Amino acid sequence: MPVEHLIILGAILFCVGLIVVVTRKNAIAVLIGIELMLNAANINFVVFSQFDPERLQGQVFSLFIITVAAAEAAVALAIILKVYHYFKTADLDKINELRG
Amino acid sequence: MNEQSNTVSGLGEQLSTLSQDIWYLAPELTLVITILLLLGFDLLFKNNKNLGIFSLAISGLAFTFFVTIQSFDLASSVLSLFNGLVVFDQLGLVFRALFILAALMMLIMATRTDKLFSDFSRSSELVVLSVALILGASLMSMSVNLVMIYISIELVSISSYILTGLLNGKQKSEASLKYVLFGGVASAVMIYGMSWLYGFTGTLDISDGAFYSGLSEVATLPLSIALVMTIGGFVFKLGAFPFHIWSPDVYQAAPTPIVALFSLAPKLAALTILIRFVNEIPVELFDWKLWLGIIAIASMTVGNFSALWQKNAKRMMAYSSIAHAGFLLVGLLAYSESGNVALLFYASIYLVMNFAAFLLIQYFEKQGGSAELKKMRGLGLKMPWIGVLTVVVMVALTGLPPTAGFNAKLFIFSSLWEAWQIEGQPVLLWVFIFGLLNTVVALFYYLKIPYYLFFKKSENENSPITVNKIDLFWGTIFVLPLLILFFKADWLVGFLNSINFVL
Repeated sequence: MPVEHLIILGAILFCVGLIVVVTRKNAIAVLIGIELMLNAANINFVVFSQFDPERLQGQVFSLFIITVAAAEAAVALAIILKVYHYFKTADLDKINELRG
Repeated sequence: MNEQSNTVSGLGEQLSTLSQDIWYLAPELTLVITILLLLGFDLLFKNNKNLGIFSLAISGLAFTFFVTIQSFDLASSVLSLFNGLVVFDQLGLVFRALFILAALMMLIMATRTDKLFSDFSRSSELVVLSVALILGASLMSMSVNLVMIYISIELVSISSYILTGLLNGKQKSEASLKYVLFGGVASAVMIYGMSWLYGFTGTLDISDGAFYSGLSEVATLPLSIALVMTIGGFVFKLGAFPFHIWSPDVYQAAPTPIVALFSLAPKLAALTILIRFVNEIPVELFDWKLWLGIIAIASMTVGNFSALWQKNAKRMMAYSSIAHAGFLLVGLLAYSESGNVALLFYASIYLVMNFAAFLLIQYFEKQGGSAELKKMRGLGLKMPWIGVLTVVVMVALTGLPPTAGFNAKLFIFSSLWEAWQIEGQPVLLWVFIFGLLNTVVALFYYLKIPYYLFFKKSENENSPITVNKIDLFWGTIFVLPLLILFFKADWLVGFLNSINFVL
């Protein structure tokens, strides 16, 4: 498979993720968008890794991204759970006590 | 067979370098040991944990500070450790010493309010996460590899998300949700930019010559996009425009000592990453001074003008910290030996004045129940000494004599003026003009707090307030360096001048 296709796949994934983040109002949907953007970076890293003289750096980086993304998602879901406890909704437009 | 034994001996060699290099990271090791001890203590004891947790944390941090000072001589020449993952130099050590001081001051602040003291010591989580944040910031201040930069930024970020929302409260949960979503997007954008930088260069080590030469061969447009994305992630941690939207909410909702820590450690750590990162960018292809200059102007202006309308002291300090992020970038823009000294001086003074401001706000918060400005009416007449200290801190934050805030602003802008005279880039002059104008704007909102304290009548006239002697002591201790360093600025400058910078 030519490299260009994979890079374009990554770019599309990133744009889809960004659009989801910007347009969706549900906190969990925004979180899904963030995961898509991170996976776009993962694809790029793995693709570029084959041009690396040391071969492995990009692949190792993508492993790190996967691990950290899991930790971040766990924290974010815990926070969403807490927000739901207080606001009884995960709709970002209705969570607006702080402003000014 | 022969090849295999070669790799084995290669591996052995690598392992022995690793075991030698680990000793240079003694400050970080002591931080990790402190975290483990705190967690173990938390598991073993059930009741009356407050004394143990605080004494463990404070002694651990004090010992780390001692170790950091001790390793200063080791760093007289710049060392690259762990095959280029981190760099060990005096610049990083100064920042690490500042972070540990910040954590110590945060713990002192936490003991000054009964409620916070019980929150901090009910279980060790808040203290452990704060130390983890400091650990992440220390690693940020010395990493020169994209993996290391990413991991350390995430260590700081994830600790901050939890610290914001750990205590119960509707506003805290909302602030931490906003923080985690903004932070997630910022780090995703940064990591996508990094993936392109890796694609351009084939290396993750930014101090490697291949990184610079790889970037020099790329066309301007893709290079600019990738660099803007990557620098965007750093600017998010710096809390500068346009990635500042989360900070007012977080500052308003989170506990005051933790806010003080947020306003310092992640910002300075992001600044060190920027110092190391812009060094490796080919200026002909990507004019980072223009971009960072625009960010500095925008942060100063947006921060100061938004602060004018705030009714909550902590929210106002959030906008003030956005403006200060702009001032810190000014030192980076000067980008010279004197610019770096000015930047470090500004960072040290910023540590003192920000913590002093938040400590005093915390005192008023304790009296009035919240950090709303209208709750502070007349408190200055009831607590005269605390009121006077507040005036000093606010004058320092504005940048007027007789406080060290004036010296800091003077140094940072004179180094910018020098840089402009040498290089003649118009953006530097614009930053200079906007910075001076913004200092005037800042005067209005910083002096609003003393105005409320002294010139507004309080609601209940006849209730006298007795201030705890220990509160007075710590307030004075936090403010005193601002006055001393105005008259004896050469003490700190002399020390900072002795640091070897690698540019």
